[in-house]
Amino acid sequence: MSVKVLNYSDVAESSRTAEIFARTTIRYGTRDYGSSGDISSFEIRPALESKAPARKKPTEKVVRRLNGFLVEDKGEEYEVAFVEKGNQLVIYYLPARHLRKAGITAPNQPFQMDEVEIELDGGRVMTGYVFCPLASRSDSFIDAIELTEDRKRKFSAIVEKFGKPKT
Amino acid sequence: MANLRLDFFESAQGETILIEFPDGEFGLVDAHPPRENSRPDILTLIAGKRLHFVCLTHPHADHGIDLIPVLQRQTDIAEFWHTSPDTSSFIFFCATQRWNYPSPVRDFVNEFWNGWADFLLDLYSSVGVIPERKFHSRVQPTEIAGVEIWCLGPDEKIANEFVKAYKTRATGKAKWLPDPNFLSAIFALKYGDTVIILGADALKQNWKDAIAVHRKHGLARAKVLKVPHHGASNALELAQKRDNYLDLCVKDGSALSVLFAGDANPMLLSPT
Repeated sequence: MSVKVLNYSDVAESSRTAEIFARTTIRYGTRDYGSSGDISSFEIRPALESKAPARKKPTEKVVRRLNGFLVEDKGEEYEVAFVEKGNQLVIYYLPARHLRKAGITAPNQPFQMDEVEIELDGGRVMTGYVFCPLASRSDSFIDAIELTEDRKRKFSAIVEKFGKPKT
Repeated sequence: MANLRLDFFESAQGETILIEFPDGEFGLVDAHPPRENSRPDILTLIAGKRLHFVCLTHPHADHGIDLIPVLQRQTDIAEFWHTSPDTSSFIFFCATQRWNYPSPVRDFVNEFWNGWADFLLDLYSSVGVIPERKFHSRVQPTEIAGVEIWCLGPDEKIANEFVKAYKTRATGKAKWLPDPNFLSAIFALKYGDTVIILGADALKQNWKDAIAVHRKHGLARAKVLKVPHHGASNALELAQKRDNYLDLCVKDGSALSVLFAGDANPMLLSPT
């Protein structure tokens, strides 16, 4: 049994005009086990219709940037809170898959959402959203919250009614 | 036979269910203000009514904000029903510890959950002298005016998971508290041949347990289902050969479902 594969060789030919580019001829041997194989060849060359106008690269513009955090995973959707107008928390429901894909998976995990306008050919504009975690799961820690006097009083009433914490 | 009547009130993003028992007295399962004036305010709604119980199905504000003024009234309420395991520990950890991250929204996270903590503190501190009754699926059924009330969930093991988390946190180690939706009380109301299931915000795992309890007690399938968790997909197990809450309903096409959808995106609701 013998296997014979020939190396290809380039054959450059000059073109009639500058619009016709060099051709590449690839020569190869057929993989015909047990024989030396016939030599065949074919040519590759660029399409002659190469004068199409260059496509305009889509341009992206961030029109809104919001910081927020994941409140609750509800399966196919996430309940999230965004900080708007500097200090207002506004609740939204977003399809969860996009945020999960970006690595936003844990309750309270902070993230940034960019609302992006993408200008396409012909002046068409598409709006998209880009999500980016502002911290990873492993960055989490427990924030200790001091009880105010009012909260202490209410908690005392709870302990009186439901008993001391068992833990 | 006198009637058993259930009123499901529009409650914005929350839920309100008022049960009128055959003896003419009532039970209030969760309460949240309506978006507009679709019902009288909660105190007007229950004015002159004697309540066998006021029930917080699980400790989330969308199910309990309007229970606070009811409990503060203190009169004509026989019992307060709930599911929170080791209530004082639960509220202590919710009010004083926050799972957080270093980020520009860190203070907002604390502020947001302080709102939830305030809800818990306000509600539970308002129970006062009203006797409490804690529910899980091993609690014996209760009968009120000929209506049997079976608790199908949560399973006791859910409560144990919370207690385990409290114990770990008490040692200073970080440990997530489980999702409070897992504490959802699932009730089956049986009156004559009719069964009605109230599913609170019970999740997939809750329903797996609830179906086992339902079968164990040989209860009939439900003719009315309060769809759990506002129709969210994390409450409905759609994988083949897995039990889900639809298995608890009659299969002849006559079952009715009630959905508190709030502002939910209808495209994301489970196909109940």
